[in-house]
Amino acid sequence: MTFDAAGALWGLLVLPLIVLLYTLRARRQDVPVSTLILWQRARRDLAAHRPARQFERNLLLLLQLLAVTLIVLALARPHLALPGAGTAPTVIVIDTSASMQATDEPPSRFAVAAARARDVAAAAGGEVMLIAAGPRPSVVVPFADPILARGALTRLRPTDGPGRLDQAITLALGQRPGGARPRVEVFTDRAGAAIPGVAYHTVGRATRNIGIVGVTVERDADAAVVVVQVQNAGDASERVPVVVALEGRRVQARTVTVAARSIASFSVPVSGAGVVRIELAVDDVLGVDNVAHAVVGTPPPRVIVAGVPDRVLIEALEAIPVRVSPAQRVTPEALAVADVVILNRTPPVDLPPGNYLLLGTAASNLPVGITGTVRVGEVLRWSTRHPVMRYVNLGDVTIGEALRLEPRGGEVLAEGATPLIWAYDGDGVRAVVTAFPLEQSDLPLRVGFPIFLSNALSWLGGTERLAQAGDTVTIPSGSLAEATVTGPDGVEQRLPASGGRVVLPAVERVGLYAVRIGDRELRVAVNPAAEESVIAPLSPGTVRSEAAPGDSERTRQAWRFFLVLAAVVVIAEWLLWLRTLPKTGPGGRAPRLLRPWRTHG
Amino acid sequence: MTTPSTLLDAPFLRRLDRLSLRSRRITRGLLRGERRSPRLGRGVEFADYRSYQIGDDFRYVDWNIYSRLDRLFIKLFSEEEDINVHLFVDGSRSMGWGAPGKLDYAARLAAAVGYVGLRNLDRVGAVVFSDGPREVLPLHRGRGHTLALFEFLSRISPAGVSDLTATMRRYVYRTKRRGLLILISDLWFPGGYEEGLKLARYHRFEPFVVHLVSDDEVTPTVRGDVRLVEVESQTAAEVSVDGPALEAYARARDAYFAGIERFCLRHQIDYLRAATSIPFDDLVLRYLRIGGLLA
Repeated sequence: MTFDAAGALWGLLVLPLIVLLYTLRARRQDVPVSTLILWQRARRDLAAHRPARQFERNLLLLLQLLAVTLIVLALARPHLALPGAGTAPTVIVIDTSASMQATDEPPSRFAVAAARARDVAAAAGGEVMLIAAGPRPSVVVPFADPILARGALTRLRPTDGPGRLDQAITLALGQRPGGARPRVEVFTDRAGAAIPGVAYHTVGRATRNIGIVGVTVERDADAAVVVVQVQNAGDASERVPVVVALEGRRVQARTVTVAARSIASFSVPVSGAGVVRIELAVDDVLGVDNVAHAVVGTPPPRVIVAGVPDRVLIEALEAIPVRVSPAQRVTPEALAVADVVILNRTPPVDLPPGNYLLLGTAASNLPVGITGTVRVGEVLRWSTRHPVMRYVNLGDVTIGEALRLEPRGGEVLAEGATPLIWAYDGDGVRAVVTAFPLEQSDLPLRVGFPIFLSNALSWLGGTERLAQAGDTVTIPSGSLAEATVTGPDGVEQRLPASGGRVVLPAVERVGLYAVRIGDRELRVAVNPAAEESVIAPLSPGTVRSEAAPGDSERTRQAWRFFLVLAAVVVIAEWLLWLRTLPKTGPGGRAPRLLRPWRTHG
Repeated sequence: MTTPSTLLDAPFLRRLDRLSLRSRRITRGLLRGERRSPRLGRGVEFADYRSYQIGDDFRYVDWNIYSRLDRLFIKLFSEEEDINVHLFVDGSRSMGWGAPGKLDYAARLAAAVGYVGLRNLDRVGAVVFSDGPREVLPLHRGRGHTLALFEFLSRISPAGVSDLTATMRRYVYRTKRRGLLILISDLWFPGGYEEGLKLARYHRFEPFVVHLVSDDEVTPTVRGDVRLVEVESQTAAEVSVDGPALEAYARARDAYFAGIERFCLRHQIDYLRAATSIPFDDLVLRYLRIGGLLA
């Protein structure tokens, strides 16, 4: 039995209070009477019936305690899990995110959750659907016999990526098998906000975990610099030994001190090319985030800058590992040799297929319109998940005048009153548009600018060699129609190319992915998702609104059952109390008051 | 406080004029009154015949019988004499209880009975007692003593703890004039009423018990957990007055009343129980006549 309003159970503290009041003898009020003769005789009579009276008084107390208990239980809005009750369909949503691999509940959170889910599936009266809430929520088993869901739960494994639990629940709530709203049972370690009709089953206990939450590669003049971010999600400071190796050769071993619930960063210069492996020598309950990889030594992308010359932009590009070639005119020939084209305040033109960073301008063939200019001020919202915006903080950026963009597709990455940074990928064109020219903002003066520029060129050039589990990785394929991808587990997979790109959808495992396109082979390092290192379990909030029909029927039955039972007990207690009252009048049967009686004469 | 003038009003006294006291036994008085005497003498009511003996008054010889039987017989007449009426009024604190107060009710009742006695040339005396005779009005005869009786009764106030046995023990030895003993009391005697009444019977008094109770003694109005304090002795008892307790009280009350009735029946004592809520006129003019005290 579970409770929607478990806080109401504090009402049970009334019980000892009732017992205390019952045991306390009330201060008796003095009442004068003419004589005690009859009362003393009555007390002797009552004493003869004391056991029965004591039982009656105790029974009254017990019934009062029972009534209060039932009322408190009813207020707590209990769910009663009745095996086999009803035939309502059930959707089981199981979290397959990386944090479910934590072993604080042996053998793992996922194994425990799956076992509980199998029990729920076994108890379900109707059909059962199984949804895996991984990086890309998917229906594992559609509405079918519960035995199929149980079998799938046995085979299912957690991913190394983040869990999109909200999307999975939305998917579950959208189901209407036979027009009925199903019960949704969610098994996770980090429940979200309470949703009517959704029952959470939370697993996990531990909060201590140290993990790698970020790896980036900066190119120096003659070497690469690997920047590593280590997060301590626990409540105590930790000293973490770290080993960095390039192609199996130890580059650095050091100890990093990470304060409680914070992130520490360090950089490691690496000379040469190959795969860098970063490993934390730490004993915690989640091992998947203790190892990360980076690929260094790859050739930098070729970039053409056209439009209004901007010294700040050129200086920023010089700090990024790219090969920059200025172009006076944008011609198809010039674009053919570039991986990315940067257009700075050029007049809008039709863009041929390619990758573009548009600064203070747009293109006529992109699904975005320009309807004048606007005064911006501050950036109000920006994405933190898109690869272009990763590690970019726009909180202190001030923008003067910007183009008023009206996107008809794509993704807005930052916005004030109007979209400020917009990304698009389609029809052979991949573009990032900033609505403001650099001279109209202080963004070039911020730390986030080179990061933004680097992210944008990596995303546009499709040359990112680093990704997080759950990300979609895009690789230029040229004129070739397919690519072969070999995952960390050694499994080979053929992927078709589209629009000159090969897309690896939502990579679920961390490690190195080898992508072979024609005779060219490149390696992509997929590292743990940052949000999965915080493993502290979360319980759902309290449901205030009416519960969903599928489950609410049972819920209503539960609290109503307790309430009706409480009413019955109260009535029984009242009837028993009535029995203690005189049956005829307040003093019982009255005697004849006048006895005219003469014994003789 | 009851005053002589408020004890009984004039219209009520006029109605009492038609009544007289009835004694179950014929007792000997001192003076000629309006009641049959055990002595046969100069009354007007024929009682019997007996043979003439030397010295008998010739005026009582029945000459008609002599003419027929040739023998002398004397006609005997019942002589009408007075009786002694002892009004015993319980003046203990418990008699101050009730609405109207039992003591006021008892004083008026004693006044009415006493008035009827004095009106019919009986000797009437009154005793107010608690744990002994507290105040005594000696026996007097004649209507002239009515006011004295009323004044005596109007002065009564509740005081002390009641003890009928001690009262009787002291009273029966201080008077030789036996007669009708009218006990007006609530009979809440901690030491019991039996010994006192037996003592009166043993000394040839003719007790007539008027048992006064108030309504809340019959049906208690108190409820809940209380500490009952007796007004006489100030002793207390903690009682939880609920349904079973009230039922037990009713059983105890009925048993107590039944015990009094059995005792009086066994010892040939007249007994009348009345609640103070009964109109006083009804009690005197109706129930005391039905009960046989008045005629």
